[in-house]
Amino acid sequence: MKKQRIFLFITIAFLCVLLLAPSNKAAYSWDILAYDDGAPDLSITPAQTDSVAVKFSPPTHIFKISGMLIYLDPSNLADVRVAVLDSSKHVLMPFCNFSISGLPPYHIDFGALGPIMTPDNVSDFYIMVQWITAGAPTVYIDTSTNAGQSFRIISGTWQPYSDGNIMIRAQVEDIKAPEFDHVPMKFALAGESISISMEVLDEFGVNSVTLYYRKTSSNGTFSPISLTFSGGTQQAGIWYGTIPGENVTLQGIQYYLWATDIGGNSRYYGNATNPYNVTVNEAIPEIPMYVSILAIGISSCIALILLFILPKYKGEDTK
Amino acid sequence: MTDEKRDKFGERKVRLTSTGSKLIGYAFLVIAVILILEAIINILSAYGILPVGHIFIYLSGPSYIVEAIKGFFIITVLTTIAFGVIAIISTVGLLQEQEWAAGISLILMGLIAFSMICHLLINPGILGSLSLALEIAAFGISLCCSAYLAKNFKRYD
Repeated sequence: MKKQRIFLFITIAFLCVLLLAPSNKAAYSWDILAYDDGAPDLSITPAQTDSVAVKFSPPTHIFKISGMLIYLDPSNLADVRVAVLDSSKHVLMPFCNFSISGLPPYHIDFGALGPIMTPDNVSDFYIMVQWITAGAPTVYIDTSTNAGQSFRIISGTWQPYSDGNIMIRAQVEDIKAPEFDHVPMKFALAGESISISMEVLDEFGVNSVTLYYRKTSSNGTFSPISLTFSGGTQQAGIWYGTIPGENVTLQGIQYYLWATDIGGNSRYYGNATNPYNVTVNEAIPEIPMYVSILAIGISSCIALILLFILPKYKGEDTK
Repeated sequence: MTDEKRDKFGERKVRLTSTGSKLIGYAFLVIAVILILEAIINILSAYGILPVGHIFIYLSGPSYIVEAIKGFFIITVLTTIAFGVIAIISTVGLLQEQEWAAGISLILMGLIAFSMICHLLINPGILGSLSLALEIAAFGISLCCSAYLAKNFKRYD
């Protein structure tokens, strides 16, 4: 009875751990990976043609800026001009006029202008907003968070806002496919399952990894296996999967991999026309453990017998 | 085989190597062959030429893990080869009934025993039972030789 209780307790504890384990799925969506965050706390009233900019530092490498959100007081709407600059103040998107209406936040879609592709070596960029409508629009600013940096052009130089961050959120879209770090499996034993593991890297996060396999001589379709996330982070994690032993025959196995990231990009490692080949050999039967121990025991006994029966050397043989 | 020495009066003193010492010497040569054969088998199994053990399974995956496993594997193979070389050196010494050779032989027996126990307990499946069988054979021969050396150590003074 006591043993049953202990078993029940262990089972419940195990299930609790499984349920409480963090999900391997992305905990964030692609459009809020880089933004000047937080709820607005204060408001400022920029003058006409006054420019403010928000500095973003998303993961490096190529990505796409597809739009932005801006908070303005709906009672005093102002049209804006928006430009995007890189950290060296080079213009990635020249000033464009946008009309805004309705209720905040106002979504400004850069899609109509074509996506803004940031260079591979640029880690910071600015979204600059200029008010072109007469009047005094109210812009909400955020003083409670540290993420992001806001700047204002004063006399041609960039000056950071001392009183908080302006509420402009940029949509930064991941356009780079995940990358594999995998040394392909070359050999396997017939009838034994093949475990395939790899590290998959992506600046924004890997969504899923799939293994496709088939028997080498079958020329049929590849069977998919969804790989399991087993450790690391979404940006650099270990994924693994197993090809069942019944499919591992002397014909050999072909496989390739496919990964998708949370931005919807995907990459193949190998492919259906050029898969990785696994040579399958017939396994030499393993010697059971008791035979090994028996052999050690027998050799030890022989040594002991020799120790007893051999005469002890006392003199020196000379001539 | 003879070993010519001179006593304190300068007279030639020829020492004969006993049959037992010769046998022990050749036994260590067999041990050396076994150990080097084991190293070769481990290398062949890693490259999938000989389907023993499961080392090739661990040579796939993230590159840094594969590099680490390769490093440990190379160390294991080199250690086995080093034991084989020591066994050859012992053979030469034992055939001349040298004291240092008897000492080395006993130490080598201990090292082979330790290596075999590690292989047996940690995971015999990684390097395969053929490799383990060779290690057990090397251990058995070296243990029997050690019994002889224990009884005849004075011969090597």
